[in-house]
Amino acid sequence: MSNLNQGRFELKLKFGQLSSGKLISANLFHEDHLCTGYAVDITLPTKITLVVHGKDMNNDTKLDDQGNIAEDLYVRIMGVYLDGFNLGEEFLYKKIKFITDSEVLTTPYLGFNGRVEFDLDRPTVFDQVMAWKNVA
Amino acid sequence: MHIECLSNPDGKQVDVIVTTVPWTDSSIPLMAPAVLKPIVEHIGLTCLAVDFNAEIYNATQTHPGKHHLTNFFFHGVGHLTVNDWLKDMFESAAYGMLSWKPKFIALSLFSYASKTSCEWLCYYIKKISPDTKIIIGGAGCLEQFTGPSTFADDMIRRGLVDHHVRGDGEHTFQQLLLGNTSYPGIDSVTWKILTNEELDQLPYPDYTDYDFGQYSKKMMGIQGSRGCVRTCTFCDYIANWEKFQWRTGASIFKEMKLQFDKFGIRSFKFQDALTNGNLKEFNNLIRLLAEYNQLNPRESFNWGGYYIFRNQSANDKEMWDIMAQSGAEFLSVGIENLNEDIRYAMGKKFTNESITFHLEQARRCGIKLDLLFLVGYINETQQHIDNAKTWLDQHVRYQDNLLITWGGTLGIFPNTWLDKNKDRSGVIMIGNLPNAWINPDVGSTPVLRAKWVQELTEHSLQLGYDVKPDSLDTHWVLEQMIKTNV
Repeated sequence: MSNLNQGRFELKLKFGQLSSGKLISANLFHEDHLCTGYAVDITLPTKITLVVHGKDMNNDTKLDDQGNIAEDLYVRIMGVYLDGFNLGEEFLYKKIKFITDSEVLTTPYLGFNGRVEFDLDRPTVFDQVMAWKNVA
Repeated sequence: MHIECLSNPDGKQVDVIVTTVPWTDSSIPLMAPAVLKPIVEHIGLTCLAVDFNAEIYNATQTHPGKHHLTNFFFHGVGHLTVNDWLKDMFESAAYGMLSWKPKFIALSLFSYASKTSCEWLCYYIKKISPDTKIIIGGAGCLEQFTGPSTFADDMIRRGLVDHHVRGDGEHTFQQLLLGNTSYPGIDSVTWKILTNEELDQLPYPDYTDYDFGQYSKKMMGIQGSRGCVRTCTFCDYIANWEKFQWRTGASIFKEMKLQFDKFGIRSFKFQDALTNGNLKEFNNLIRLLAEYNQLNPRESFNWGGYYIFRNQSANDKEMWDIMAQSGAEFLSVGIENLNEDIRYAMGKKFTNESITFHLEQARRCGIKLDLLFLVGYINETQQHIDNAKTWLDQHVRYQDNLLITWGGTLGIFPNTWLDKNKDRSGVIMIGNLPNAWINPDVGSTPVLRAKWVQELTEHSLQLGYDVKPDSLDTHWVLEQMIKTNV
């Protein structure tokens, strides 16, 4: 079946904003094309990138008197879905690589400027979901 | 992959396919497709009713990646050694089903371990043939016996399933096929319970499309009742099946004979919550079976099922004798607790003396008993656990005839008596899971109750009792609690 390589990639995001109302920017790119929102119809294999930008690292994280974070500008990936299949918590916390200017972090909490690349390199949705949900 | 139960070399067509979906560990046929086949045919539609689960279950048993396959079915997690096999299986199953050009495909989910397969199977079917209607049903769709099914609702929202059927499925399923989608039990939490007369008039299950070569036991399921006569405080089954429905002994016996004539099967496993709920009909059945067995010693029937102990009465010795003659081989009995006061509080009103009497009779008659327990009732204390150990010490003489299933710890499920009376019972929920409760009055906590299960298991094993392996959900309970920060 030819359409077994087609599906919908979707991210569920949560934004943390400052009391001033400022939000961090997050844009989804599919093969270098900017997507509307955080869901896109795809044909495998392909690449998807979430780019996070617009955070002023000097001013957009506010600390209280004890040095705890009182306000922060961030976007958190709450869910990743491929054709409705939820990749689950393991994927969120163990397989999302957040690439910043200085390091690569394994986290769904995107509190810096940077990007997450989703490399969908398998031929079908089943193969891709299983590759992402494989046990080591 | 060739899937034998779905093969269609002559390119036949059916209106409806009813099938089980993997993964259920069963050595006998799952009943649902056979039950629904005559229901479908009664309204003039053609039906293929198969036990797809059995074929896949057998294939997994000899697969080198068996462990990874089981992990997939239970948790949806893949592994390099099995991913291609699974993809081939789902794709082949979807094409196999669609080769019959059905208008409806009905998937029966026996347990929660059927969900992953159901999801992928529906995905493949809808990808290949979006217009084929898919209906799901069965206990596997339900997180709990009562309340909405998150799984079914999500499958419908995603367009993978068209309808969800619950409760007594026979009439509901028929009405759905006839286009009456507003009938209770179709995409609704409430459903219409069958009357005893309706239950008695249902056609007998039709196993014509099953391959009996797939099963390690030559045994068939049978259902004589639904619901329960007891009103145990912890039971969520009766919260869903509010009335006890039963068939006559004569009707059940007739079905057993018919299945033997048709398929040569003489062993039956009752799938009821209890075989002896209606004592009059139970007595009728065992007398019919005993007479038959006496007249047909070379073709005698045997059976097993769930059974309730009652307080000893004058006729009980004779009843045990007739049960033995009727072919009773094993009975699963929900004792739940070895302390009378706890048992009475639960709603299981029979004495310890009666338990001993029934154990004696069962041993005398050669009928094996599987004793089922539920550890950690709301007012249970260490003293009760110690009493249970003493009981085990004092009854070792019966151990050759017993299998002990300690089961898990007490869960408080929605809409049960315990759930509705939490406040006056001293129980405080500390999380969303059924087992996440404490009772400060007696110091009962999830961790303590899990420890009690271990204690009782170890004690009974030390005494030489046969204890059902892997029956504990204690580790699972603790894991879930850690995950959810209970």
